[in-house]
Amino acid sequence: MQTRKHLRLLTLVIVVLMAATGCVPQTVAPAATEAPTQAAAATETTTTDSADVPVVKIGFVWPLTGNSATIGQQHSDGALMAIEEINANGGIKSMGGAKIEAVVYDSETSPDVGSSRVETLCTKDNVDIIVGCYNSAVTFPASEVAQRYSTPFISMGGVKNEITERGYEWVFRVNNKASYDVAEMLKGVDLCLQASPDTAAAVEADGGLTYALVYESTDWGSDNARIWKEEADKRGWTCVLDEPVTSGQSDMSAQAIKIKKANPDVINFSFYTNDAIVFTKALFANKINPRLGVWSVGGGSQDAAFYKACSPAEYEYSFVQEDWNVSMPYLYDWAAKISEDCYAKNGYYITSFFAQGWTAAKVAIAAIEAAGTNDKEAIRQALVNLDVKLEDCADSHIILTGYPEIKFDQDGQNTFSSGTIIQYQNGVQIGFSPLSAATPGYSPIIPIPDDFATRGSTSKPWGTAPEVK
Amino acid sequence: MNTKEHSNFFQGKVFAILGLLILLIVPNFVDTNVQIVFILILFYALCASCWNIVCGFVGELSLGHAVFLGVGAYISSLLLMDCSLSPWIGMFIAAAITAVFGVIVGLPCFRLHGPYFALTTIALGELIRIFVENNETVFGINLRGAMGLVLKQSGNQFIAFEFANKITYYYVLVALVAVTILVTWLIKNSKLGFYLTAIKSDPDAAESLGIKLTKYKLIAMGISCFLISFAGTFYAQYFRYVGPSRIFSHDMSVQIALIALVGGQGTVFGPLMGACLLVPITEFLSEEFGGTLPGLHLFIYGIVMILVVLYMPRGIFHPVTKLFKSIEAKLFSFGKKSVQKGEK
Repeated sequence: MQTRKHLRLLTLVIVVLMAATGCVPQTVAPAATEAPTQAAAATETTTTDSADVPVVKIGFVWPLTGNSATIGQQHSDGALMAIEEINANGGIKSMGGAKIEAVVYDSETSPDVGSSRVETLCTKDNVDIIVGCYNSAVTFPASEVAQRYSTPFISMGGVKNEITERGYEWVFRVNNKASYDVAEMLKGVDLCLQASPDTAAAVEADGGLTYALVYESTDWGSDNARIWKEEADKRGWTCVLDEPVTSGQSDMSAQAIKIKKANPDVINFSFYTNDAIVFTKALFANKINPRLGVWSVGGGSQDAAFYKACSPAEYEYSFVQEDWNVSMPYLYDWAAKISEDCYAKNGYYITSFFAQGWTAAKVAIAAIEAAGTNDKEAIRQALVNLDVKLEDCADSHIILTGYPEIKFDQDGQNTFSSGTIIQYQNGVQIGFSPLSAATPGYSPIIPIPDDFATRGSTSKPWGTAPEVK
Repeated sequence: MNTKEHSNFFQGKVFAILGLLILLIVPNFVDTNVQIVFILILFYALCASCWNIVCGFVGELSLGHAVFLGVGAYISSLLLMDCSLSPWIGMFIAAAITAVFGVIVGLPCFRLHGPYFALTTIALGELIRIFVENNETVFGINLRGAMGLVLKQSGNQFIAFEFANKITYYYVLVALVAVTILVTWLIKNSKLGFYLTAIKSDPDAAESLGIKLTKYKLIAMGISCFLISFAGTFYAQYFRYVGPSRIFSHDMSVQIALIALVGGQGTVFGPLMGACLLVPITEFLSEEFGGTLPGLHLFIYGIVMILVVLYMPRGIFHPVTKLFKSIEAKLFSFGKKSVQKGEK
């Protein structure tokens, strides 16, 4: 009886504590002049100084819990900091200094939840434009909801080709689609072979290039593997292992052993953070060292959390298709400033995900600025006509991702979206493809040295800028 | 029917009737956003009620029931996409196939009891999910692997099970839930229900009395799968996308089971009550905290679950019914006395 009483008291305390915690919005910082709101309105992040200033609402749906939580959080951080910057600098000028209000929801990395949240943004919050949802599986049905409600939808993160291939006039995508990602990686492999003629000759002597595909069996992973295979077939490369893996693995030794047996020249993997960590550790533990390296299509390998969990030795020499120009902070002062601000606020320097969240929010804002109204059709038309160049971003800071340009084709796809192929050298990200994003004075290390005993011993911490040669 | 009969019929049911009237009428007068919550309430009530037919009455814990939801969704969607068959017809074909599939799956599973049965159903769910995710085609049928099935917009055609407004979706669900609850009530008050109750109470004693355990369990399984397949068709048509990683997921199975358990397994209206409690909590918490304090909504949801399990281990149905009956008795006691005085 006594135990039961204590239990009741304990649960009561927990509920009260949780309720108290829930009343203090912590993550989202409104503009400097704005006061924090109550928890009930916590998702609506900004308010205006006076009732006369119009408000523009932008809805965001990111995976803030579930498998992609850390990735979604970085997207959200980027988008909210972009909005903060605009609000601090006078809001939307073409609308008399209208303030931007961000409404953020969690997709829980689930297609039906994501769709419901987009529907809530359209029906309850009446947002003017929506940005989301990172995961292709969530973005795909969620963007259909936006299309149904005739609300502009900017897809950020989702690479599934079909997102912008359904003839939907309200759906736009700023980032790469899967076929672009694969094309960049294959071009990167070509550059590696050019950089090391001896390796190229050895590969040729062994009967041509071989590769292994290891990927999570979701539509993102499968799509990437399918496109890679199609393109690699055209080049005459040989697939020696095609290994879909169920996400949520605690050990990938079995996959590592299969890879070791297949002995490919290139390993291409696509996993979100948790699986990427497990896979990378399994490769290192089994001393797997393909001569043309381990290539990741991004996903977990772009996540700051990945580099906290893995030692530099485990990711040394690996190639990552980063969905942004990693040299941005070194090439542009304004990008370096944002990176410093990001570190001060969030505890990490700009990542691909932060840059993508920032850029997507800025594109949404640029469209509203161009439309000069929050009429949805006018915003959609502004997106259709949008044409922003990187060199013109010194003041607007729109393209933090480093795409040379943002302009949508008739399908709503930004045809200028591109990433960077980087290799970790001494723990530092070295960009080498495309040439516009290449880190000056460096070239890829090929073939990968067999130096497991000493690998990573002199590596610098993740996030360290490369020394300019 | 005289006044006395009227008062007897409504006695103890006033709040239940009021609740059903709210579910029937209120969605007509609320925003689309609230209608969405009502749709989710009835969707999960439908799934949980179907789960309840086999698990609530038989007493086994199935944690893989989303498989049957997914099978229904896949079959009706494939019939629509590849054969241009209206989902209104496809849903019945899907239901029949799902029922047969459920019986086939039930045959080996019902040889097991307790945790072994629960573990087997988890394994089944994972097996089907992984199989679908990793196979583009099966026997020439294009399942589209991990990409899932995407249903194209038909332009709000009734024949294609696509409507312009949420309220139509809602009333389709009202009909499906009403049929499921009616079937549950009929089972509970039929010989099958008594047999299932006997099996749940003491399978050995039931068998010794001549009840064929496997036969009646499989009948319940078939009915449950038949009905949950309708929910699968609804899911596909409502969200216009069926992805194996979600529809066959363990999360979905657990969610369905929890709603029924919290509502009150083995009761006719318990799953509906569980959905009425848990779905709005989930939606409210997710909308309020999901974007700013990630994970908090799941944490609070967990606390609510713990509280319910601690203080209402048999579900909320009986305590809530008791509470409403006592309130009703207090509220209407004055009226009752005056009628009695008038009669004198």
